[in-house]
Amino acid sequence: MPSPHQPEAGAVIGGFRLAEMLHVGGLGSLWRVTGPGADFLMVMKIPLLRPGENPLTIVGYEVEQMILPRLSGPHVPRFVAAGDFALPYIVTELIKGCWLKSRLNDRIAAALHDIQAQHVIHLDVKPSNIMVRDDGEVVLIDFGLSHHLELPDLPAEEFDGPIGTGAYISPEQLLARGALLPFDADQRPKCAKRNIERSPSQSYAIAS
Amino acid sequence: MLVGLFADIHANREALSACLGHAERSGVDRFVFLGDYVGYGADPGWVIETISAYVERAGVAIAGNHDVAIESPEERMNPTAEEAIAWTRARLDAAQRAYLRALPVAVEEGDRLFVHASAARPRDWEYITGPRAALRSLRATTCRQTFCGHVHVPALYHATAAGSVGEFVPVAESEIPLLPRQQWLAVLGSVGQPRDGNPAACYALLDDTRNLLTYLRVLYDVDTAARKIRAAGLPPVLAARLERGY
Repeated sequence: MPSPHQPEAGAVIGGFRLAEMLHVGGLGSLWRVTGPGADFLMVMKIPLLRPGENPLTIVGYEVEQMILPRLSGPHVPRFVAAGDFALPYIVTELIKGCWLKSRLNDRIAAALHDIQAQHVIHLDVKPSNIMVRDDGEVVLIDFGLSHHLELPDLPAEEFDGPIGTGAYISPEQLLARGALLPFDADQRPKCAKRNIERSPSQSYAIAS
Repeated sequence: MLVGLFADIHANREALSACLGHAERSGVDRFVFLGDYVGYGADPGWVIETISAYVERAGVAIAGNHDVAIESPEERMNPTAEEAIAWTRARLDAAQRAYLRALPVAVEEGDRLFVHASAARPRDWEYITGPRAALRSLRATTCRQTFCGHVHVPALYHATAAGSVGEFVPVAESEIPLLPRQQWLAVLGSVGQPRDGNPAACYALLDDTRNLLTYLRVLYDVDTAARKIRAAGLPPVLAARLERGY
């Protein structure tokens, strides 16, 4: 039997044949598999459970193994089978679709870039304020907390304390009225660190 | 109606000509002059004659501290300003001095107040350089909109119902809606002696139908204005200020 940690196409694990590797990462691999008794496409997740691996991988495997068999309906992948710690794997229905992230991230970024080029910082970006047109174009809505760099900042004077939606508020909004984006860096973590550690400064001035 | 707002001209003929030309081309219907027509610059008489003609045509003018100082030597000013006022006093004729003497220090038109400095005590000439001074001025009037000068640096303040004051540095040529729920205090920049680091003359347009305020910067012949100041024997620092914009 091949090692579950270094599987190869054609290997059989738990009665399922590995047909094609779909993804491999630090936490394990994903394979399209074939097997008896299923009239739908299946995917096998094989976690890396070697000693010293990220404990989150182990706990995550345990949790999925517990919860997935209890779920049903069109909004979750159908559970097929799971292995054990000696031969850890989970087989579910293979979803033929795309990730929300890959589909929308670029378009959301483009939408934010576009409004910022028009001197507006939205300040309340969250799923309920992002709509998608039928053609896939992202539309930002609800500019009630937004700041235009060429207009007075009314919310900053009307309200004390941070304004925004708790789960989505940015560090600079939380610390001060972060209507500006004064920090830049070549890497995102550096930029985030500066946002947290430094106070925003006014970066606009009257222009001729 | 489109209203042109002009403050702190300071005897700068070149700057005022450029701003008035810009205003005429923009379709301004009414001209509001917010004081300090004289002092510092080399053309006080021409400026007084010009603004009085515009006021007669369609406008209003109020007095600034330099205008009052022409007739009131007791007005306290810095030595350079006093030297310029003394120079100016000797070059105005009786009619021009009478014109300045007759100017009111504040004019209310409906919901608008025109005043040179703070509305709190107009004759104290308090500079509105921050939210605290802005709040004092805003509390002193029931008008929803106050327009003043004196500071030579453009700024826009608004007061909320709760009493806090927002401060904003206006961006030239950007229309700012003066929303009706707030009380507004617009500190105009200076036509004739800008001090915000930008030598371009500053004035503003108010579309009083749509309540839109637009600060503007107008390039003018700074070299000529500065050369005339030096040639007149006025303090050379006044010429250098025009070139630097502060």
